[in-house]
Amino acid sequence: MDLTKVDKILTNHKNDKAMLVAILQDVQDEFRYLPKEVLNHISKSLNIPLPEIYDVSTFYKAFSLKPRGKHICSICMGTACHVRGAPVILETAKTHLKIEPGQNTPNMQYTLNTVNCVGACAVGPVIQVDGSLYGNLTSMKTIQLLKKFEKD
Amino acid sequence: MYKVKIDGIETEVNPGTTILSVANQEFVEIPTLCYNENVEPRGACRMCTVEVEVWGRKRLVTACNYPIQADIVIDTQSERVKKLRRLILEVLLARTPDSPRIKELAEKYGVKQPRFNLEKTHDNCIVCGLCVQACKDIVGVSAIGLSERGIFRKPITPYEESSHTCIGCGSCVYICPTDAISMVDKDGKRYFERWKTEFKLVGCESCGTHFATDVQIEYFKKVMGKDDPSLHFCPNCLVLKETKK
Ligand code: SF4
Ligand code: FES
Repeated sequence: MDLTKVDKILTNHKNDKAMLVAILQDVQDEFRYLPKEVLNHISKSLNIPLPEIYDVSTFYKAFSLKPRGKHICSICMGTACHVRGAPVILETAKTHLKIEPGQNTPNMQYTLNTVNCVGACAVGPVIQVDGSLYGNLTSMKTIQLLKKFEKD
Repeated sequence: MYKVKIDGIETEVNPGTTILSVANQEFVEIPTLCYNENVEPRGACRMCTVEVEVWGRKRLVTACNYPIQADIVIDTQSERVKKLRRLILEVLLARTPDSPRIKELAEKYGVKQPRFNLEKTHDNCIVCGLCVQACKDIVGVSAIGLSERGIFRKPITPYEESSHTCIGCGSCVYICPTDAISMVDKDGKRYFERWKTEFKLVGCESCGTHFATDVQIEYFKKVMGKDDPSLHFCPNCLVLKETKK
């Protein structure tokens, strides 16, 4: 594991304990999750007890302690998307990627998630891939969308 | 000095005195769970809620961490307080139905069967965070912390793995208000189920009784900056030695 990258993140934040959340966000951007070695390293470098870092890391849903795929695919299951067919979209994605929500594809290309409303109800059903929204989905469009990210 | 009237008793206190310390001073009983005089009060359990009147305004506050900053009238027995106390106990009882301490409080304040039906966990933890704070502020090792959020929040060691920083002193066990942490000394070993951590026990050099863990003794040596007789003998033999001198 390349800890020099972590040191750089720490310097960017002036080794400031109060910046812990921002530091963890940068770490997650770099590694796509929060690796154990990195949390240990931050604990030693900033002199924050590991349990406190672990508390923050498990408190926010945005952080993941498990490795995640290259693309995060979140299917909206909010009320509006639900009535517009989100369960079908979810089934399609599950069958296509052959994984359950919360899991990664074996080649680590995808992580499948469900979320409850991304605030784009007007164009539901909606999928969010790496932060970008794709709306008015059908099963066909879902498969096309997932194929698009399979290669890169 | 501020004028205080607590359940009809009048007194005066210095600014910053907490309601709970005035109550103790005046022998007014306020139930507490997450309060311990050796650590900063955090107001986690809400058990100590009382009704206060400041500048003509009434409100409910937690007695353990409310610093008095003006003349104040405190009521620990008002209808609002009693009602809220019962609700808090009802919630706690639903969560930890096996805890003797919670059962005792519930009975005392007239709470019988909670309305809420929760899945039984056999865990007496009320997630007050006292163990975490004691480990940090009293022991100074911060081996444990809280994790997750909402109904999943609980005290744990990071990754729920055996801890490298825990010294096995058992402070968390003694301070926990609901006896939710088990510590078993058996066959020369000490085991903490909740922290998944095991230690070797050290015997008193005079009588052989196990009185501390090896890691604990090493840690004390470091903190004291020297070796000391108290690190070799159990408290009983230590007293005997002192009196013989
Ligand atoms: S184990 Fe005890 S002291 Fe620790 S959070 Fe739970 S109830 Fe509080
Ligand atoms: S004792 Fe005051 S909130 Fe717990």
